[in-house]
Amino acid sequence: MSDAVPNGGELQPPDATGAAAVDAERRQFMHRMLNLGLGLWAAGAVGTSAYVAGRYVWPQPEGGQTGGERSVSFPLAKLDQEPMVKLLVEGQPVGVVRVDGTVHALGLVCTHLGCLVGWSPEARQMVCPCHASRYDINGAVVQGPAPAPLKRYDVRVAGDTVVIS
Amino acid sequence: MGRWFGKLWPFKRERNPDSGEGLRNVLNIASLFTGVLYGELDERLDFRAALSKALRKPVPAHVNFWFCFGGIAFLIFLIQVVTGVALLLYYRPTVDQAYASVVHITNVVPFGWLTRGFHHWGANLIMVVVMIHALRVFMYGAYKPPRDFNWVVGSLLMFGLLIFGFSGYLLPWNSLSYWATVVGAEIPGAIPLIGDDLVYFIKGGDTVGQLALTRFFAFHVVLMPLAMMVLLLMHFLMIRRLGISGPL
Repeated sequence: MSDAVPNGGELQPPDATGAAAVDAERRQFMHRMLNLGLGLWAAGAVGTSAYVAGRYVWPQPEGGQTGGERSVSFPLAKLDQEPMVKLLVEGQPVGVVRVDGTVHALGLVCTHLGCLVGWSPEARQMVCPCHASRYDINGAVVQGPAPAPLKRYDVRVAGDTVVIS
Repeated sequence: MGRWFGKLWPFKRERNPDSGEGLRNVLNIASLFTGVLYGELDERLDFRAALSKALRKPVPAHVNFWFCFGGIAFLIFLIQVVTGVALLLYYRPTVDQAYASVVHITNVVPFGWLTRGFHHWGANLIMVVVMIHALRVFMYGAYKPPRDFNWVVGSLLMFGLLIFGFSGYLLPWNSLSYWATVVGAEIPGAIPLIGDDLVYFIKGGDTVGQLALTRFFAFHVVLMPLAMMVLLLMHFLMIRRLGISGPL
């Protein structure tokens, strides 16, 4: 075996014999292999754990309250009792109001920071309680800080039923 | 950029094809991923020295397999902490929803069955492991002075584990856990003088209901973990200070 010693000069103490050099190199090789094995095992364990933890932590759509109906209807007479009828259309809050005989449906989520706006019958405006943004009956911004108009929904009055979609 | 990249670049000029340079290159590629963070941080904080002090601490020659069970118990405790926090993300501690949330964890949440299984079996296994640990300490006479106070802390830890197990058993709120708690909560009633009041305190009322569930939940996820961490810290500091006991 001793004539098969590769030149491991840098590992070799000055007075080492060939056999000691082989031992030193073999030991170093084994150490590296052990470290490599441990490293691969640890990397695999970390990767697998991260995958499992990520899947576990990420919310499930089944558990949430997304979805909902695309089109919601209610009797027209309800608008006589309440100034604003609140509904959920596709899970989003929608307010329905009647001004001068015309029915309007607006998304209630303020485009500023996501508060729910309320209907002010006197001003005929949607007013955000958080930062006093104001929208007119078509959803357009009357007063800031809202950056964009409210979402508008289609309103269809069929007989004495209102359909919002 | 050039400075550290040059240091980490794995492909050095080949000096001798037989000297294991190729293997070193492979290892250097691996160190590319760890070296940026580890190397720079190590330069400032001496991780390597701290790690090797902890991991290469010499132990006496008589230390054998049976001395491992304390460490195994701590490992399981850490697993319980991690899986317990994970379960907390989905568990709902109310009479109406507790069972449904546990079913949801087991059947719907990805790897929820695994997380709950780890927590369940970890809770069982840790008792076995801790018993072996205590038996080893007893057989080696390691409870004797100067380590006698560590035995006391260890006994408190084991009692804490029992409270952990008892309080955690109620949380799924199924028939088995409910009636086990009804029966188990009666047992402290045998203690003279304070027994009846103790039972009343544990149950949060005359019957096992929402108050008992809330109470057990608070014990299981807040009070007991804090108490255990303090006791574990004492346990470890003392054994580090006093050293491992002698051979048989």
